[in-house]
Amino acid sequence: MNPLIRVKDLHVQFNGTRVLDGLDMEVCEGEIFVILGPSGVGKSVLLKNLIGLLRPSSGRIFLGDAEVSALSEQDLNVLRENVGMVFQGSALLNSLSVLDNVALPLRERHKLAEEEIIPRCRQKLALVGLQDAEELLPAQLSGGMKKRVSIARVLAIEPRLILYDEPTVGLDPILAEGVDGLILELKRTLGVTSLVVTHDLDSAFLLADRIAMLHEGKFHFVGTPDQFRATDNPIVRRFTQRGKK
Amino acid sequence: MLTLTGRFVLELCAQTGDILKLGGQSISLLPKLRRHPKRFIEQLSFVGAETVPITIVLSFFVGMVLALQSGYQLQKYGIEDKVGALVGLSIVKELGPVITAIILAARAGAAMATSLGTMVVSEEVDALRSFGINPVEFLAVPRVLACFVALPFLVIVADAVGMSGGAIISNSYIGISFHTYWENLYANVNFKEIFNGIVKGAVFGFLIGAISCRAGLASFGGAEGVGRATTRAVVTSLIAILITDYFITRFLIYFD
Repeated sequence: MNPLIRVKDLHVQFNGTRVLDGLDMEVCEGEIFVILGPSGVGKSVLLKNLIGLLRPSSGRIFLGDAEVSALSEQDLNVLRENVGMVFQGSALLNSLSVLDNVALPLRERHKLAEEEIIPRCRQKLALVGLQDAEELLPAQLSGGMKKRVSIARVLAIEPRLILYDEPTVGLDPILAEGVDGLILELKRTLGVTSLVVTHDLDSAFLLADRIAMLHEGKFHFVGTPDQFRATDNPIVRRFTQRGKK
Repeated sequence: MLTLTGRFVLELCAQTGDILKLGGQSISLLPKLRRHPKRFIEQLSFVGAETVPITIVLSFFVGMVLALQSGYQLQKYGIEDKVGALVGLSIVKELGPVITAIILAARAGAAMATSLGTMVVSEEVDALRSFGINPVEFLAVPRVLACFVALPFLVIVADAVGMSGGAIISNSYIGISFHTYWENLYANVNFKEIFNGIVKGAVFGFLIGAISCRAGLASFGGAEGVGRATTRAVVTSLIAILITDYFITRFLIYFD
């Protein structure tokens, strides 16, 4: 399979603090690639670099044939039409209703006709089980509902690649299972490539084609879930043992 | 000391550059506003209509204080019948635009910086960018334009209310008839002076909008960062209003 994401020797630092330190990775088309790692290790920073929301200190990032790290904001906007990101805190616009939030990228960027937008948004909301919530404001939703709306908003643009920043954090096990099921369904039915950042080992083992362990700015392990379980890599062991405790 | 001064000057230049950049972007993105008429009208209502009551109250009292102080002093020289001109000119040329701009910076500017700052720290602005939506076009342009359009109208309201407040005090405390007050005011305040005040209002409105949006969009560091952004928006707006006021006044006097 062709790699959709290629990262070469990525360095990111803020105010002299190194967050990513020479990171390399490849994610193939149609793959679910899960990144595990403790809090504050730079997982969200990596996702934001992948779509140009943050700029790296050095290194190269490719999405398909486009070099993200070299594109202008205008070119990045074109590239982002095929990429969606589900943010950790959902990042819904509080002044807009659920339906308007889901429709926002289609209205503002994709410029589809309103007759096309509304049915598509309703269909995506139905897919995440929120067909009856379209008139509500984000303030009237629970954390899990917000997360599902933000997934529906990404699904509405029908992207080739979806980046998930802690998609199951703050959700109860049943809702988390629903979100995991949705990510798998998207891969199975539409062949969507997914990059999932999480702490949740159960989700990681359920979803991943490959798992990477991010620690001190680099991947210390990349492999299948079975290899991840079997490895005696001390950093992976420490993370998984802590998870078991 | 030298390092601190240098840092301050650099920071000031960087901030001014960012504000001018955002203002310039707002102007260049104006044609795209037709895609967001609802957002513009919402902002216009918040910035303009909802600021009218406080503008009325404050400018009424400013007019009254002005009449009280000037009438009291003019009485000593027996020329209290000139109070209409003094109140009218002071309000139309300076106090109307400046007081209204201060009200707008404190009310709408602070609210805009807080709201945009909150959107930044809750990643809403990143979400917009992740969908290829320009946050300046979507969030800042309607706000900057609303301030630019609303402030001249608020200045007109402040002028009218302030002069009326002055009339009431001149009549009740200084003992000048309404007819004398208004006649003296009409004889000395002409349309050009009112128009100059309105132009000042438009410039101040643009500055408040650009400064507040820039402060909000540049905020970082959670709730504390939003608080800092709000303070920065108000303080910078007040400084900018008074400095710009001086230069506009110099410019208008030069061309008078």
